[in-house]
Amino acid sequence: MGTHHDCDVLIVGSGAGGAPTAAVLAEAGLDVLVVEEGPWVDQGAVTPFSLEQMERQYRNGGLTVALGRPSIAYTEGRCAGGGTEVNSGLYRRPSEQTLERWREGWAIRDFATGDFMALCDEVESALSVQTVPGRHTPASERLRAGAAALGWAHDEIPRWMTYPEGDDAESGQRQSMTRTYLPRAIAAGARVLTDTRVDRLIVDRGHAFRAELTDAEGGPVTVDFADVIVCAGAIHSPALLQRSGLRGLIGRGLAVHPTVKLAARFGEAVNVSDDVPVHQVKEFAPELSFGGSASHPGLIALALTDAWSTMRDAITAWPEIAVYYAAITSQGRGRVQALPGFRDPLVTYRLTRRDRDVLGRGLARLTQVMLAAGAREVYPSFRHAPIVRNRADLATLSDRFSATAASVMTVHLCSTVPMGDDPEVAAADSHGRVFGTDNVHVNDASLLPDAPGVNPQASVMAVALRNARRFVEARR
Amino acid sequence: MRTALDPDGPFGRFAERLLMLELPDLPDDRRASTVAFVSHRAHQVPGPLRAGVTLLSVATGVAERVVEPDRVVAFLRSTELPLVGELARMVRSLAFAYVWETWPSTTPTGGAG
Repeated sequence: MGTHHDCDVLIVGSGAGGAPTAAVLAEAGLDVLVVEEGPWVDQGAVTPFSLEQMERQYRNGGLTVALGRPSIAYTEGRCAGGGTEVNSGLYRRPSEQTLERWREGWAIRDFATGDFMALCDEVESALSVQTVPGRHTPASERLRAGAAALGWAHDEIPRWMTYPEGDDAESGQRQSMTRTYLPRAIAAGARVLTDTRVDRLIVDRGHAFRAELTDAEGGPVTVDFADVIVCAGAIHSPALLQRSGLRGLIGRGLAVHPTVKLAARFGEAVNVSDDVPVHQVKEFAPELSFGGSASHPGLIALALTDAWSTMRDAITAWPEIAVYYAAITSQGRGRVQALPGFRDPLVTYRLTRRDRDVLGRGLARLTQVMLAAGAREVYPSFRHAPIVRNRADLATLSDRFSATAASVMTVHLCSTVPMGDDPEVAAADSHGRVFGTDNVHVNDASLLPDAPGVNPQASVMAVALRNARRFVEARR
Repeated sequence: MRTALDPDGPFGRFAERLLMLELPDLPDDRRASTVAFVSHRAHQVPGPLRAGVTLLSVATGVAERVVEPDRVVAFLRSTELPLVGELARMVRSLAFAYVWETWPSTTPTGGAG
């Protein structure tokens, strides 16, 4: 006999989807219980992008992989606030073309561009989304300078940050979910249960009424509810639905932005270990975008490991090195499959031939930016990669590149329960109710019909607000 | 319960030999700490992948009884076979990230710097 809870609405997950949903529902007077698998970790309690953070706030310690050729490493937050607590906080609205593609391709009702952009306005106000008021980090400035020297389009991506103690990039304080929407939800009466995992929902003829959970000590917990809104992210939302006996298109359309990386060495100190560059190069967007990554010495060593015998001497110069990435809009798709006997799902992803070509082209162009920015040496992350010192070496890079030899990774995962009124392509209706059920909803990145070509969390939060408001209206 | 992924199991022994080859000057205490870290993280890998890593580690342990252990490590270091090649890559990635985050002045061969 374990612990038991009752509520109007059970929300599974507390990240960019779950936290805004909880705030809207609780402020509307509903009895809301938010269940989060990970712990509550206050901002500032852990060094950003460190191994300790991966241990405490990332799912599986950050060691999650979509199998394929090549396999794609991905990361997910697993803590109160989800990915918003651990990512770079970069914020970009989806383009009008993206919204139109989703609206038309998936038959999404009530999805006018103007309404959606008004939701983005609201998110930006709630999260203090802004550009850096003062100096940028040296690594960010280098990326900007390289793009400018080539005459390539580039800009600064705003972040959910405030700068109460100075104007420079490194003084920013992240306005993640534990500082914004979750406190709002709690103030309005929502309960948040951390360190507790939802194992499955009990669904009878399309109606869910109970959830079976496990607490931090392994004890059983049950929750009875009138409605459930699953916001566990693009991997674990479909996995939970599948474990609960719901199938159809759920988990079939995983979309990501695959990225390849390089490290670049300059003639002076550029390394900032606990922050990321805010500039991005958009000359080839949405097919290709270039940006900067976290670059503490461990991550630089990681970037060099694929060609360690060639590149290892560079590690002693880590203060002069920063890591950058090229991200692509992929035409490939992946799949999430819950397997009997395993807590974690099997995740697979298949890059198309075009994707592999674009990754190679992206890495070569990013290397061009680095050389134009004054890099002395560039270290691409793939097996047998050459050290690039000049434009002549670029040809060698292109000749040797193979996506299957590269360390491909992503942090943007979506589209595993796409929304829309066309059941041929969607797994949930236009407002996130899972087809075949009357009270099981999804409200996170899983609903985005495909990868937006930009950081997706603006889209996730705007969709979450939209659907949560619709849910409240329907209850009235 | 002991598993193949423990520091003194086949996975840990493979990680130790790999580090002796790739970071030969890493002091013994640091190597032991690194192997413990890599083993700990291997236990955190998602279940379906952990099953694969365990299987590969057991196969490595069996192969070491038949073939010279260093030859097994040399093969796994250089193979580009799908999935099989990921074992050395995973160990190397975790170990190198740990070594340089923990001791940033480490030399390229693992010396204390």
